[in-house]
Amino acid sequence: MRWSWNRKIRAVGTSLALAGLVVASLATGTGAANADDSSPQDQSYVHANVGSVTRGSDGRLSIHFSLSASGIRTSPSSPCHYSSYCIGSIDVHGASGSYTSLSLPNYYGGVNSISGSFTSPSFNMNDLASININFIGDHGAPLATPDIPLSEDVAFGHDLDAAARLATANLANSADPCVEAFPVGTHQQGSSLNDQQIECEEARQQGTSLQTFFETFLKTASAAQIAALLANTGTTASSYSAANGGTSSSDPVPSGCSAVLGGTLCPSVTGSQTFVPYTDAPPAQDPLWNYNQQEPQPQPSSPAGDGDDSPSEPYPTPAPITVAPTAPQSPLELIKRQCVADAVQASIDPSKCETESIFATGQYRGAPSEATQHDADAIAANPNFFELTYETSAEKDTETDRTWIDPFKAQNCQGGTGTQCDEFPYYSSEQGAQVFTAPDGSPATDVSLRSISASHNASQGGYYTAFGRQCSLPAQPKGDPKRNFLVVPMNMLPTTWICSDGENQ
Amino acid sequence: MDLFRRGEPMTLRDLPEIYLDNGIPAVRDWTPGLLAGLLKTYEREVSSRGFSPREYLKPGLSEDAVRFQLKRIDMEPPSELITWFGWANGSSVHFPGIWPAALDQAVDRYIQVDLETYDDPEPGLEEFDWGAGRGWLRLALDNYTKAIDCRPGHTEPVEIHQTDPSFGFDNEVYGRCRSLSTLVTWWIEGLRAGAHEWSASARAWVTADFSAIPVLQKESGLA
Repeated sequence: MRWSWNRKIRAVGTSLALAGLVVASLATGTGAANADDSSPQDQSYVHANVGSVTRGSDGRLSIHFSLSASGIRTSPSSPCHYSSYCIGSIDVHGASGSYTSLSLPNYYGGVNSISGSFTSPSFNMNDLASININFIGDHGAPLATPDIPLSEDVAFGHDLDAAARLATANLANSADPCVEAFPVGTHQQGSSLNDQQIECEEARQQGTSLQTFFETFLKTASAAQIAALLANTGTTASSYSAANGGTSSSDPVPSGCSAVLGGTLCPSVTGSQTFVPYTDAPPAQDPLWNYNQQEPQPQPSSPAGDGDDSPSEPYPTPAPITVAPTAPQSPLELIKRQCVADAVQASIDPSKCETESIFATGQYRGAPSEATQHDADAIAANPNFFELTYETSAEKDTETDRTWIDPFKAQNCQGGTGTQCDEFPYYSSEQGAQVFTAPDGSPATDVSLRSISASHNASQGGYYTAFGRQCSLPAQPKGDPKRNFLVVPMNMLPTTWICSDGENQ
Repeated sequence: MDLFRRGEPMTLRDLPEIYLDNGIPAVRDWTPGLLAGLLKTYEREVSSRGFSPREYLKPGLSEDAVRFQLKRIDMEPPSELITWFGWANGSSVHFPGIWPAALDQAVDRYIQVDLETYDDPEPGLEEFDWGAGRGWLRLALDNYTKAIDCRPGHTEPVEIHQTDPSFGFDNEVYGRCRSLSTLVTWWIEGLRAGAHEWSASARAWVTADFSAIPVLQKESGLA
């Protein structure tokens, strides 16, 4: 089996609709692959459109995208569809590393393709640079889009009005701020000044302040134009932070707080911990911000002899953002990152990712596990299930009988031969096997039930028990918080775990 | 041994005593024919609660049919297993204490799931046989269920295990009993004490009173 990736970035467009903390973007990527040498014209591909990226008031990003794909198969003859278990994931790349989310919702499709629109889980990154979307079937190699650049990250979380104020302040002592702000521009008016300098000067002569002009300009400019203006006005990352305050990833962690991905955790008056996202400018390693601090490039000139020295482009455009190869992350690092993201999503103190054991349920024999996917979906539907409390089978046996699940199978589990009724939270947890009586007198449960492969189910049950034993969870007295643990479904990795004492599988 | 083919077994008014044999629950004065009477009694108990068991139980199998199917997987059926599948070859709904699997389904599960784990265990799971290693047949299709010793040369009364990934790690007797008669006796005791009720609306047996399940059954991890 030999796979070759056909990298085709169809388009990278930009549409900024800035309102302080929100940026919209449009970017597209397509990944294609030949299935194998025996079928060179295989139509396998996955195509994604990134519709928008938003940052919420809590500092987290949400990525909205749609995708279509074809030729992704669970077996040589069976394409993905709703009831098959092709696994999708999103890899988000930033200058400081990568983030993997495995929580794509179920998707649906026809005989030979799948399609859908999803909203990804939110996560913390203040240096987002690109995204790619992957699919893995049970058969064949994964299929992925190439990296889809998200070149608008100069605006992620940064108030462009504040940037305009800073640019204005930086030019306060300038004799001719419009000339300084736009050293390079188009020449359509036959003046020694370029068109942008003229537009700026005319606005000022009509009573528009420089700051207002910059604000208007920034709200209609492309990312490249924004970058150019900020660079020309000396608006650097450090000056931005100094002018706008807030917490910075480069600031010392306040006393009593701890640093986590994307912010800090600080005690609140109620005793719980509050996540404080960084509000600073893009970090120094942000490639676009770095462009801002470069010297303006010389204005391109026309070929000699044509008498026209106008530039071919309105502004020197920074080179396209290239995603620098990031250092490979260890599985444990990936798990920790996913754990923090899941914790924020679940409104659970992310510092628990450092203090509690983590069961990172993963693949079955090198392929995505149906049990892991069930866990991921169950946690997405009920984030409270992210944190569970270990309970031994023997302890559980004093509370319920093993056949508790049977009354619910008819409605929830009719998967047929080779399947079992998988339950999440796990039976051997305090949250598992909880049955109550519905108003009509029938039995009811909040436990998520799904027919999955019996082999996948048995495998996870074994690993879960091994996790509990290695992390000494049953050895803790019942009621001890050390029995609490976090469930991080990671279908990209083999099942592993991290014990609260740092030991891992 | 094919008791359900030879004639109607008697129902039992007095249930056998269950005692601890070196810490493992077992019925006292076990005989190979005890199970047939207990199953008849069990069926009567569920019938008295508005449930029609024969609507859901599949017709039983002959001894030859049981032996033939188990021979495919190198198993030797204990006498009680022949009685069990002679009573019914699985059910379309669960019963108090168990959802009986048809023999062909139980064999298929053994082949598809269990044999692979014996022959090629996943890394780190080499020691996890769930109390149902090679030669043990699950009586229901769940991971957590009862398995019976079908290894050639097994002893009688046969040993039963509650399948669980932690089986045998911390306690040598937990999750074990001897004889299917022990289990069926407990199920009958639970029914008589009000542990289980048939919900006609849900078309399911529900555990109405967990405290009514026999204490020894729960303490042994076999509820």
